[in-house]
Amino acid sequence: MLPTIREGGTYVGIYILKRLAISIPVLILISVGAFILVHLTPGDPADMYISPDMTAAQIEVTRAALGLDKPLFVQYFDWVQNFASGNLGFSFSSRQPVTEILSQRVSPTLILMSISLIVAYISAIPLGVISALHKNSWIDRAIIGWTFFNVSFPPFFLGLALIYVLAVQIDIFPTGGMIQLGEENDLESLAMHLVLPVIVMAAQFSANMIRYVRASVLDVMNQNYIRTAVSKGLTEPQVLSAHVFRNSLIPIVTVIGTDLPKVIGGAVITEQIFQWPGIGSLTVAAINARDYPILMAIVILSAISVLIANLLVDVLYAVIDPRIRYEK
Amino acid sequence: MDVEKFVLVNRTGAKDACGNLITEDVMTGTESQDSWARLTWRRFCKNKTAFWSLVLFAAIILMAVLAPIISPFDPTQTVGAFDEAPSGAHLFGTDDVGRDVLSRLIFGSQVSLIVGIGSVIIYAIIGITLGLLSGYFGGVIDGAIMRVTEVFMAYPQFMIILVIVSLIGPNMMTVMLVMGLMGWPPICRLVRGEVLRIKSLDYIAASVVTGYSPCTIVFQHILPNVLSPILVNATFGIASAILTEAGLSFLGMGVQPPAASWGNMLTSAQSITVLSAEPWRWIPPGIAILVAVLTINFLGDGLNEAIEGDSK
Repeated sequence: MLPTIREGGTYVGIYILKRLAISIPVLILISVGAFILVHLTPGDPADMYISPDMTAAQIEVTRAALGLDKPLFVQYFDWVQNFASGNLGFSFSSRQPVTEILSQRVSPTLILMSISLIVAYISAIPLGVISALHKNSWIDRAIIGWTFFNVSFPPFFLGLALIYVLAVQIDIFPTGGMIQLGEENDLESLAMHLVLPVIVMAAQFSANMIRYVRASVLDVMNQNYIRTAVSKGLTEPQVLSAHVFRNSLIPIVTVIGTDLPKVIGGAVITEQIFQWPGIGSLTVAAINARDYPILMAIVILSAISVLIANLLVDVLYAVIDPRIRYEK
Repeated sequence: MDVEKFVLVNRTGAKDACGNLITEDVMTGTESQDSWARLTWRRFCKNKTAFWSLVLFAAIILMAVLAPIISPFDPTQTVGAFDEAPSGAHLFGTDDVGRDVLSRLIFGSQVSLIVGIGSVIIYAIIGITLGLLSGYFGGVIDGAIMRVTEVFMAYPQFMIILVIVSLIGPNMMTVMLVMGLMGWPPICRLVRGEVLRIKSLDYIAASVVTGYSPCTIVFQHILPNVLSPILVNATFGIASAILTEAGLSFLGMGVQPPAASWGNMLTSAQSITVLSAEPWRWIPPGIAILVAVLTINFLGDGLNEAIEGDSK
């Protein structure tokens, strides 16, 4: 019996709840993993606060103040409790609250990544369709070759080459940073700073999308209902717009599913090269300073964002494809 | 174990390759394996891009193996003036401590190949084993292994590798190990999916009824039929492992100077002076990474087409 729309909605609800339930143990394991990772490593974070002339007692006081004298599992539960109440501790190097530092860094990363994804998809979808419609022609080969270049170009080399040509040799774009301080038009300055890092990120994102769209369009064009549409006398544009495109856009969700998890933690190198003040460059700085609270917060934050992204994509699938949500 | 391949061979006309088609040894012996491999190889060679990328890949391997012989200088020693532009003595110039850039480039190929291939071998072994267990036994084992893959896949790959390597001390071995230990979930899932597909085929049921142990069935009857997608996946894996190693070394969290790696040769180009005034120091290693990765990706694509060619 076919479910009514209402019932369908409930199924989606149950499906979401199931997915959430599965995510909880994963989330706990992630936090334990991050904690173990950051704490069972050589090098004592207290070193930074200890000067050679301190007595052993003073060193102990310093360690106690940082909570480093307690057993590891107590430190873990302390940390989880604090985490739940939004307190991620203080940065070892700048002594600012971790939440404050992170919140300053999240939006630059989100700006960079969302614009990169939009640019990548807007350029990739038409390229994928063109490639499929002219299968095995020179233009198809050129586009496929281009995707190989994109996935094989080391992001740091592409970034440096772009800076070398477009910021140093021909002084069009700034070499790095996000906004020139004290400039009149902030938005224009932001846009100019965005161009090069967005090219680097979009190059990586677009390759996957081009291939998926191409494969998907080719797949749909081989379906029986397309043959039916052609044989009942529809013109090519009619077939393409009404039948091919709509159906071949479904796998886009798959690509979004692999791209979305990269939003928070995927631009370490690009941000570092362009001195973009986001999560990625913060990671490198925190590694160099052995700033455990920051590192742990970044690892957890990026893992949680991956979980949320995966959940979103699964729900999107369930909404699009009814077969999924009826599976046990 | 060869039922599937037998079907494939049959369908693609193994008649030309081994003369007589349906004989006892084609069905049971090594004969069909050979002809299948030969057919795939022939399809692979027909694809010009794939063939030439194999040649180029062999050349890169040769360069790495012969590095001590063909490189003009010791890559870790000061052998010239600092920051010298390319000349007859130093074809690609020297770096900031007078090391020969060409020699470092040649020796850098060793690092890329060892880390790239080594880490993929490590994660392929882990991924294949867990994927076979997960797919064949199902139930609690499957559930547990799948949860663990989810945990591993929840960390952004590059970031988590970067953090772990930097915490335990960056060098070539740790980079290879960490990449190997973190990279197995995708191959595990791939193998699991293939096993689930193959498990439902009649010849596995036949093996179970005949009384083969699960171990024999998994490793001798199922694994050989999963190898081709693993091979393709591993080839692309080597390409991305080389990129990851180069990225880590570029950030100073991989192979440490004075040891040469293509990635750490680009580190200095983060300074605008080196970037703009000494392009010989960063363009050659950048192109080397690009060429190596591109070559291996084309190779993987060629393999994929050659292998898939017979299922169409």
